[in-house]
Amino acid sequence: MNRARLSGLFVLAALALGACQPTGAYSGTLVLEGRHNYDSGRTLEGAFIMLDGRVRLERGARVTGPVFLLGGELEVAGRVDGDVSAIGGVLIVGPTADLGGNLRVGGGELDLSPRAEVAGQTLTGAASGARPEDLFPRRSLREGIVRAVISALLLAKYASLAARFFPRSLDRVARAARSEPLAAAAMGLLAGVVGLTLWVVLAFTLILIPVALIGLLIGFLAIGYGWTALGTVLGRTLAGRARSVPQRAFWGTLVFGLVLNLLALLPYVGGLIALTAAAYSLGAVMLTRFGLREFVPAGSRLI
Amino acid sequence: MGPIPGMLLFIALMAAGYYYNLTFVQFGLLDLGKRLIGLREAEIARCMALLAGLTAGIAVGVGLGMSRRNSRCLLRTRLKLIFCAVVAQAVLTRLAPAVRSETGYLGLVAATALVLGVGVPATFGLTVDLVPVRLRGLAGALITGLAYFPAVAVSPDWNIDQFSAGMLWPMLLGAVALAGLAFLPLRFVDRLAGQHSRPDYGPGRFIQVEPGGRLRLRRGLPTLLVLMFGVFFVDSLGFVRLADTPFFFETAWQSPEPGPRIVIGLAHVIAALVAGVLYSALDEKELFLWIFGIFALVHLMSALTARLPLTGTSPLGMPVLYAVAVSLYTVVNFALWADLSTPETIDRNAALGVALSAWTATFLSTALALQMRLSGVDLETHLRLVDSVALLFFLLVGLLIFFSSGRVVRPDPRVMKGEP
Repeated sequence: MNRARLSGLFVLAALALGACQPTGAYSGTLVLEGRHNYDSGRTLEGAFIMLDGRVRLERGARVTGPVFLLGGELEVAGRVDGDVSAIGGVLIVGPTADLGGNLRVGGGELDLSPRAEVAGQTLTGAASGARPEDLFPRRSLREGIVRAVISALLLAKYASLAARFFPRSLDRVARAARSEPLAAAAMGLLAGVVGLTLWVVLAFTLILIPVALIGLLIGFLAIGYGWTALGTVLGRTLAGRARSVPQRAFWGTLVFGLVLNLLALLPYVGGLIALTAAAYSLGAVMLTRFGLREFVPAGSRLI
Repeated sequence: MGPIPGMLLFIALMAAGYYYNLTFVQFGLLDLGKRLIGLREAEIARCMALLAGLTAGIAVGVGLGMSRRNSRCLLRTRLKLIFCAVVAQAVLTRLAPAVRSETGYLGLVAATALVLGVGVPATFGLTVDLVPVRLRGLAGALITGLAYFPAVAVSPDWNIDQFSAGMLWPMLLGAVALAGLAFLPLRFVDRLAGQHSRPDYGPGRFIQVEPGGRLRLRRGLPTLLVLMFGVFFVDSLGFVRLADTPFFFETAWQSPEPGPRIVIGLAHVIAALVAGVLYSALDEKELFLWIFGIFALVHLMSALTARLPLTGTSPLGMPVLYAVAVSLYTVVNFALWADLSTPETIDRNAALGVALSAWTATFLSTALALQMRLSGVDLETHLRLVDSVALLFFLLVGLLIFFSSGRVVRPDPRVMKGEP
């Protein structure tokens, strides 16, 4: 690895770690389960997210950010500065509760005391904007196609840039994907499962969220790079030598991206197709270490 | 003859044997000692130590003995040994639930050790006749998947009575089939018996044929023994403690609901197939790096979970990742020893590999885990210690890869294409 790349990596790592400071920017509380009582005088900084268990926020206790209830039982008798949103579980808002924002209940059960203070509005059902389907909205076919075209165009632009600056690296990734498709898919699946788990663990520490975000970005870039490599091969097939390398990469990746994005819209199998394509290209990128080395299967090597 | 009949025979024998080891030996005997005889944990641990130690000693003795005979036509001998082992196992399986005394338990353990000590090197030795080098990863994957899926997904209660009742008839049927293969003059078996002299079967992946026909091992056997020891040690040291923590065990591996068990079983199968492909694609040290890295991550996750109040249900992420790590190294274990061997050294290497890495590591880690618990080491500290050991091995493998990189490579194309 040359000195410029090494310095770049060092600066990136330093920036990521430099962002990992307990400044409050990423503070929050996540409750997965168990019983928890937050007594009077206790202040929880940032967002409060609850997945399961039983929590009582006593009178005099305070949450400085919003509250999201996804499951379990939450009893609020203290102060919440932000909105309180529930899409599942049981939410009990006691007579001493003091909510500084809106109360949104899209799912689960609500037991609201008439003496509780809600500074904003109390919204229930579809009007709340806090239903599970609001988090993962269904898109119409037309919206899906528009998004597919836009993302394919972005991928194609990424491909033309990559082909301009790293043509040999893209070739290596494409060769690995074509000559060892099973190994690429297996490696991508393994790296995807382990990478996602690692990402969740990093995110759970809260302080390492910047590192997790950079990891996620690298993961997406790797998948995109793999698709770009495959698109470049397709471009070579479609346009032959008629165009320049970046142009072939652009048009090939545009066709590849469009086909893949449209296939991903298919009901039932679409997600599986997208996942398989992601694993396959991630694996090819990993086997060649972002195209920095030629991949030779170990089974055909000798010392 | 194509490779499929031999591979099917090998996969069936290995998967059945490994399933027996996973269920009856590892959990059935524990259940018998604890629940039906009423032995204390320390006594059971001593018996398990005896089982591991005896099995390791007998396996090494049998393996070295078979290697010294230098017999290249051992397929039928191996099949006869396996037949005897299966018959003996069937008898032990039938008798085990009736044992009610500590002496009887010790006798059962010793007899099980004898049977395993003979059966394991004999079964591993079949590889050179039945599985071509290029398909050993796939064979390991199918064995792992076929053994783990029913062991995890189908067996809800890990008790000796159920194992005994469920296994007896399949074992007797298997013994009849084995008797036919071992004792009848079948041409099919004769053809299989000669396959170890073919270059795509006999010399393993890490054996180099030098000019003059001399065979040379291209990997350090001691290094791989240490790495496999590390994998088994880390796995057992962590799993023994997790198995003793009802929250972890009853919400995952022994969940009363079939859902979590099926998910874990499927994770074993998929990870085994992934490992089967990657075994041929990656350097074995890279695979070890993944395995130790995943174990480190798993124990980090379990230590994080242990900090929470251990009630209700636990997320399946940790058990699924655990299954991935276990399947990865099990596939490597099934393929590695044959790939480090020639037909003359397979019995010795397989016996040394399984005895010194698997059983010794399992015995040491089980004893250590028990000792740590008796000394009052809490769950979180225990898991952090396991995590540290996994990370140490991860670093060790990283250094090994760093210092061994660059020494590459030209293939023997005949072996990889499967040409004779």
